[in-house]
Amino acid sequence: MKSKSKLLIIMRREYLKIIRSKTFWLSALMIPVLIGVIGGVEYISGNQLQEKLKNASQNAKLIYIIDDAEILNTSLPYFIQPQIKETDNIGFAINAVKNGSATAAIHYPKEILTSSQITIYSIDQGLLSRGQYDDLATNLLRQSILADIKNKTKVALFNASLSFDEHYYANGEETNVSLGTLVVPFVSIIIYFLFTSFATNYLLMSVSEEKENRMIEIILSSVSSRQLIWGKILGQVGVIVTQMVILIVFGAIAMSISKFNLPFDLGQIVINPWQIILALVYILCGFLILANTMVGAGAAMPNYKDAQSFSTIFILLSIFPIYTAEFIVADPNGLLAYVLSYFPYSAPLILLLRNALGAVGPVEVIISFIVLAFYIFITAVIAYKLFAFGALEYNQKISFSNFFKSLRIKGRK
Amino acid sequence: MEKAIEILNFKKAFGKNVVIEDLSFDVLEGEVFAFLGANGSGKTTTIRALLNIIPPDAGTLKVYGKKYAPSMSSVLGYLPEERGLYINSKVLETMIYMGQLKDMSYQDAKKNALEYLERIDLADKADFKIKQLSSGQQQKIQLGITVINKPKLLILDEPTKGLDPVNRNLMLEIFMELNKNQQTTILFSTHQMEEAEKIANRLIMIKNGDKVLYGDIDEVKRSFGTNIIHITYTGKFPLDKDLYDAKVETNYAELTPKKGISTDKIMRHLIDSDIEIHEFQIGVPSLNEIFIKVSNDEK
Repeated sequence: MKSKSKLLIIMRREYLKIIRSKTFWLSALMIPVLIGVIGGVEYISGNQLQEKLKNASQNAKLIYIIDDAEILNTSLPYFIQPQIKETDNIGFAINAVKNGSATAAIHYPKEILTSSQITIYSIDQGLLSRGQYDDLATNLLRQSILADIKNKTKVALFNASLSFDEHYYANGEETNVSLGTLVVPFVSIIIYFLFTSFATNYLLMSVSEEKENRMIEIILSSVSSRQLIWGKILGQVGVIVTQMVILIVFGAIAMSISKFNLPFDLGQIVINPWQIILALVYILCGFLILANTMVGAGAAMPNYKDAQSFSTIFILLSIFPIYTAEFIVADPNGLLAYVLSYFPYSAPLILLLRNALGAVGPVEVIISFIVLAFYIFITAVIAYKLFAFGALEYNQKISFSNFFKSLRIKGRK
Repeated sequence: MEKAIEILNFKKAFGKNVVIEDLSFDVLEGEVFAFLGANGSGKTTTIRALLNIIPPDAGTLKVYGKKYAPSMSSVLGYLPEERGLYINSKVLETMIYMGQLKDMSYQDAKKNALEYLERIDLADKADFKIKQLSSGQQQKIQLGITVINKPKLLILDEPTKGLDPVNRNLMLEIFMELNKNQQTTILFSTHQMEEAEKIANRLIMIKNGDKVLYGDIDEVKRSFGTNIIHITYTGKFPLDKDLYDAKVETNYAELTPKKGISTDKIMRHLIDSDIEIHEFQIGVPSLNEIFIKVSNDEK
């Protein structure tokens, strides 16, 4: 059996070890379930709030309308409702609200044409009920104004829900603005996060486990450090692919059994092969940079707990650029975008984002490949050296001086 | 006999701490070789450097004439001093995995693993998680992982450390079986001199980074030979200052004959006394005595 097979044996073990664990299935199933639950709760609570506000005005005991501007049309259907009453005594209306005999009072002052302001007095029913009579007050005014317009078509157009046919141009050519164009970039960013957060954590756990279980020395008498490290990395890649398949299956099931509609037609998904290839390369580069870092952290620290604390900084560095997304999207070729595109841990995500916005030109693609390859090489060298030096340090962390010494060690491959 | 291990002018330091100064020795094919030395004397460092787990500062370390590489793992069984197991994995699964990493096929690894588990009466625990086993059982599994490939060369760093006497004997029996039945070469480090005395053909002892004893066990013992008489006995030991100086312990005594007094005369005197003699040896110290003597001499 050749050494290539040893790589596969390690990879298989790493993959099965995680796939067979309850923790994996718990997290793999919890992610789609949580997404579904959060989405569902948001949808239901949003509807409930709207319903509550709607009911609040409909179920109001009494609403006084004070039209000092004489602008309302009292023939509107609103005024047939028994809970809406007109009065010209604002003091009386305010007192009625204060003592609870009326729910609200809406005052259209004389100067409304210049001030555009309506005053509303109502019983406080909690934070979320604030503004619940705004729609009623606005609609009374608008419908009254519309009632004076004789052209029914114009009235219908005023009330219509308008749609927009938008056209955008860049470099003299019309650009595609369909939401379908954002699907591939959006999915690639999700994949990036799966790799950076889950796979790297599994990898850290795996390297630390070898040390904590005191197996590393026995293993290293049978396989090379590189075989061990690459076997682990590839095993984690397999785990994430499985996790993605689970997400896709859950997504498909959820879409087929729910009434949820995508905001675009699936046929509108724009597949740009070049953009996809670039996205995959950037995801892979980001993963490798972080994976190498995790191997080094796992080897440098005596146990998983210490390694996890130490590695948090690198994981944060890899995902913090998402908080700058707003600025990157606003100006994908700005100074911030360029700086973060070439900083080791933020580069993959920012390049991924800019690639999605079509902001990475051919020359920059080449430069970014060179820079990312350099970062991968550097982190790999440091990881191998730390592994060779730290793997047998069972009880202590590697100090900075030992870290620099480790870089000078000529270990085996 | 061919050399299974060849170490020449090996030197290793960690920072300013020189662990091994200039060490050279050979282990011949088919022999059981004891690697002796006090704690921190450099035994583990030497073994790690031999297996290319850490790089030497100077010298050559060879296994079967070549610098060791993982591609040679099919001939090696290595039990390090710092050893453990994947405690959350199952016994058989772990043994097969380690066998596969030593270039065995899945089927062969499984067959050998089951044979071994049968041999140590743990066949019924094959599908148990390792953490469900007792400490002694886990140590037997560690040894099983080491010998699963029926290696030509076995390197054992303090193999019986932490074992009770019953399991220690079982381990030694397994080593001897491998040595006799498969001519497995064994290099083992230990603090237990009686173990070395029991199973080793040759030995090396290192102290402060240097070789202080090296060679055939009997030769080493003879080289430390004296006219001291070692006796194990029961009864009340007779003291006779005209014949000998005696260091007497319960059931054991060491006698140094007075000038001009022959060993025969002392023996006749003892036979005539009330004690019952179980064993006596003239002039050949135990390895334990040699170890202590050499260690103290070095101080």
